[in-house]
Amino acid sequence: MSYTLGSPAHFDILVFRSGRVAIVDFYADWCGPCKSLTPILEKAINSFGNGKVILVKVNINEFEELARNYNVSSIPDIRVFKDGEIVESFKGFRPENEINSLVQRFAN
Amino acid sequence: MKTFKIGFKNYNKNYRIIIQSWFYSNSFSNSNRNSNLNRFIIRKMSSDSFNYDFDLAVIGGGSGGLAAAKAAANVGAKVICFDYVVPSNHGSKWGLGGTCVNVGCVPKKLFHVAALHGEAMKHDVGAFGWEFKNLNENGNGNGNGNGNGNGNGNGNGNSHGNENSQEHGLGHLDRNELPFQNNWNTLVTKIQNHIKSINFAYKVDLRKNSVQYQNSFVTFKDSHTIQFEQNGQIKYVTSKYFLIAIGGRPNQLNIEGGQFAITSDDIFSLKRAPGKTLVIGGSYVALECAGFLTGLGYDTSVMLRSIALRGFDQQMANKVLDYMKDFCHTKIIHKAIPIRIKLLENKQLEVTYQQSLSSSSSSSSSSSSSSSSSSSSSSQEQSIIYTEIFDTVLCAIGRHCSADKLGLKEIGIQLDAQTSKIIVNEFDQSSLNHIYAVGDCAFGIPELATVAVQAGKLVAQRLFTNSKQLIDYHSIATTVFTPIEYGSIGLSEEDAIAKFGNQNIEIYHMQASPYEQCIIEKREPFVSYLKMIINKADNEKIVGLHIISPNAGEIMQGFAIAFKMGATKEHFDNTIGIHPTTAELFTTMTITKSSGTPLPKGGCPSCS
Repeated sequence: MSYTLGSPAHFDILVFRSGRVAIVDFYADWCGPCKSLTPILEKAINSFGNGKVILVKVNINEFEELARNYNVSSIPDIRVFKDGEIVESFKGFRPENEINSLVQRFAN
Repeated sequence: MKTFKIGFKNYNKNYRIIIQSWFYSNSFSNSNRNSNLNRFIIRKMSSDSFNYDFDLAVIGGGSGGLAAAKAAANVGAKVICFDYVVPSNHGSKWGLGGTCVNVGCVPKKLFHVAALHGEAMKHDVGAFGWEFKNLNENGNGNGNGNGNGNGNGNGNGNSHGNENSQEHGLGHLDRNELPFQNNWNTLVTKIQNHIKSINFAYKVDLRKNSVQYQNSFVTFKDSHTIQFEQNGQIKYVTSKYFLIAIGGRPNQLNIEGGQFAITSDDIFSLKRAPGKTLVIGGSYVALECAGFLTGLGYDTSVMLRSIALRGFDQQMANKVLDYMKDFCHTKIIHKAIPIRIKLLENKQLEVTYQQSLSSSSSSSSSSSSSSSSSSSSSSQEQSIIYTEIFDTVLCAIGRHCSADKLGLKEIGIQLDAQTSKIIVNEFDQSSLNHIYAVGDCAFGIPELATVAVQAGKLVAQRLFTNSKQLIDYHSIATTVFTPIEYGSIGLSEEDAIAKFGNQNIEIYHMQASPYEQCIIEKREPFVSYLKMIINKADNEKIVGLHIISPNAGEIMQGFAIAFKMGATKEHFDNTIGIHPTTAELFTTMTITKSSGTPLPKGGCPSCS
């Protein structure tokens, strides 16, 4: 399931209290690589997520303070939260096969 | 880096300095030691700044402000930077970075490049053998051009027959019949996205450099206090020093209906294609905008009150104008001023203007204008009133500063009466010693982004280190990015003669077709032109260097360094040129204006 963040409180609910692995996708409308990466993430979560992995899309212009708190300095910036901790992260575009195996790893 | 928390409440401020410095000097590796000892020294020296919230408050997050803020923070000063964009009267606004990033240098150059690509496709590529694949009789290409932005090349050109396309490629097709066009919205979106990524990078950069950032409009409450609004509350900030770098904004047209004209604040983010456009003004902003609008395919006119590129070498300015008129087909309306703009029901603009009749300059009124004649009140000038309908009017008649809105006059800071720019001394100080001003908002300073950057950096260094370096406003290289670019360093021909006297000046010049264009027949009359002005009384030192050429900006940058080092003609003559280029001609200048020797007509520069 993919969610676009609606409020800062929403972040808390999805990432820390949903009981699922949350892949947070920091993006912006003006970012070209983000436009390529996000659909790949969505597709991977749908295909391999098993209901155990969710995607949380955070627009850094809408949620500046949140992005600042996580020191987002370039986008796309992907953080994988498990049990409240960031267990994996990367910046920049990644191809489909890498994203698929990432999601598969956390779905099991 | 380890952080230490200490309860400060029971310590006085002097204790805090000593404790901080102890941690600084002991907790860091050797490589950091010097910079942190520096911080200790600065904090101790400026301990009286403990009365203030900040060491430096920068007002304006543009080229000058950001450079100063980062430079000051890098040597340990506590810095805050305010940036706020008052929307234009057409609603345009933008993010952190100032004029250059948002509505100046950056978008201007990108639009210029976009137009050059279009011109190259229209005029040049055909001569080099490029043609559309399978061009049929109706001029519809089945190749993979991007004519209408969706990746297929089906245009609606009317080619003169398939058999010709083999021989002439694209060259023979009328510019209006070529099966491709520029998609304004695609172009604007791409460029605006790029600008937004820079806005973001600048914010991150401030954070990385420990500069506090506040997106608010500030005014001065007293000479050390500024106020602003945050979340509905009025807040105050005190600082030991201030740097005002608020830049400038375009002047509005002061005529009936002037508010319907857009400015450079609006053009780069315009939501609809500009269509048939009138650009009012002869500044480089006006000519650069008119230049790229023409190149992108829009019917463009430039209305000049008198001369173009005032302050620039006029021979070069006229060459720029001639190229725009004769090759690009930008319409130039000479000796004209707008009288009134009327918004029509269909959203077009009806412009009424007055043109003086005079010998050389001819009007270029189109068939859609009507005219009536009337004599003006001055003795010999007759003038004619015209009206013409445009889709867009872009006004580029100069810039002013909004320093009068900051409450500066009230604290005793002198502003220029006409432009409201801040009067500064050679140390970039305003009438108050602790308030500095750099960039476009400072009176008498060249309006260039790089000048503001350098000035901002040096002010910060003079304030917080031992540096005494002042900016050198002489010998600054500039380039006007009109369809044919004009680059220059030093004095214009007029200024050189005025400064050194006709008898001491020698002017060398040369012209040649650039290699990018020398096999293109229709470009034959349009050659690159180079001019070198030397002072015979000073060992033939070069006092002015000018070039009209593609890529003039890139060409001139290297020469700027030679110029700044005091190069003479002999230095240039002894430098072996890179061949084949246009720039190498500066190393073999032999023909002087005074000799009367005619310049070669053009064609490829010879190897001798």
